[in-house]
Amino acid sequence: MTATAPAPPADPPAGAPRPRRRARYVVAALLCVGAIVALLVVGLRGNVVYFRTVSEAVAARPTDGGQRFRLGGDVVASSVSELPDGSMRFRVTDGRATVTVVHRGEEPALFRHDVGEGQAVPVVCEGRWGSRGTFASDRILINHGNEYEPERKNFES
Amino acid sequence: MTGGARRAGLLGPRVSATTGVATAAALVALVVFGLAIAPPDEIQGDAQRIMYLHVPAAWAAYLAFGITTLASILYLWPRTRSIVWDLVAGASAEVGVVFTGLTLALGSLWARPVWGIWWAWDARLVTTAVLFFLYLGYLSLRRLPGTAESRGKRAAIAALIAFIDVPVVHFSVNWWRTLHQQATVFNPELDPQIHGVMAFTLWLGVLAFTLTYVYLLDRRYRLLALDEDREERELEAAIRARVGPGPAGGAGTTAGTTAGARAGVTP
Amino acid sequence: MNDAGFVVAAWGGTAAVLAAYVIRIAVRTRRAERSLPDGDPER
Repeated sequence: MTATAPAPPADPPAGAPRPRRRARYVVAALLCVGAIVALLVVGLRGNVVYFRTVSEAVAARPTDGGQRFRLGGDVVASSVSELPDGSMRFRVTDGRATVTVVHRGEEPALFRHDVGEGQAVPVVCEGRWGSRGTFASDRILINHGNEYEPERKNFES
Repeated sequence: MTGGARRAGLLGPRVSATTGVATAAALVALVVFGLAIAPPDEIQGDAQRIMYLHVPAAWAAYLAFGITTLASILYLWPRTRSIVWDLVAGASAEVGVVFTGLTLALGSLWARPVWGIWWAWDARLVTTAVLFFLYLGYLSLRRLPGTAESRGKRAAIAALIAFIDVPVVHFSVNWWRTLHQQATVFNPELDPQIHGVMAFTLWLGVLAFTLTYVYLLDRRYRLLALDEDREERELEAAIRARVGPGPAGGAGTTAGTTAGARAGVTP
Repeated sequence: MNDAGFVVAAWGGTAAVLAAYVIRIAVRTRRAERSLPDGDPER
């Protein structure tokens, strides 16, 4: 939406077409170009692939130098447990490789519910390799699929 | 003078009013189905209801930019060049920017409850934000000075370049690994992952937003045509004032020539 | 589960944006119509 203020009532009779606030539109066009460049630079810098699969992450572990990355896979439903210090521990798998994740931080709203349903919950965890081959996560995103179906009625509710 | 023709809407008053009524009816039906009749999703619960707006808004944005592209081609093609196509392109792009903004905002409101974040730097989201700024930039470019024909050609070429991003946005979820899910209906397998009332509600949303687009395009086109018409009259008045009360024929010729140049070749 | 707030914001916000856009176009169209030399409404 271009925010155009109401046009001035009449232009000076003496002149050429009114300048049409052209400076404003030059600035606006340049700002748009700047925004596009910024988005592409920030957004796609090494991020065109949003997360690494478990196998890729395991393969890259010796060489990645402890940098932050996103790890994507399915939570093994039966593997979720809470540690005494309040962090959460679970295993994430891509079918070929499996990694233990220790998560410290907010728990997404749907996480407990989905895990409780016994489904393989697809997640993306942000963090880095920690000690003894575990992945230290501080943020869990739920990577929802493109399938939708009506809620089954729970008998107990 | 062609002013009279360019003061009309695209559809004509009666069709336009009918479209308005149909649009309102479809939107009301969408509210009823989207918020009351469609069941909550198995996994996402009620949050999934945002899909019935988010997906249609994205579709309407694609459609709007598609029409902008088509109109721009018709403007660039010498045989079909007409100010009408330039105005259609501009009006459609503005409506498209509104729908793209809605798509982004609705996506964000959907992402927070289901992903856990408002925004992700993934390929789908970034390319969609780029789309928003591409067409916002296009709308600014349209306002830069020049004769009608040079402005029209400049805008049409920019529109063709901007449209490249539309397929990139659509296929981004297949080309790159994203947090954003793949298309539910137009996925690579063409195997819809939604059924029954939920699918019906989604299609109703697409219909309602298509009608909304057509209605907005018609209204926005008419406003653009009126503005163009007024600018032309103001220019003529200004030229007449500058040339002064000389021989009537002389002033008239000057004004006519300039107005013709501004309006481009009219059909 | 606090989904209702997001759903209401999404649907209410969409309605507000579309209504504001339609009104803005209508108001500017009315103004442009009044500036026509013959005060010509649509046709």
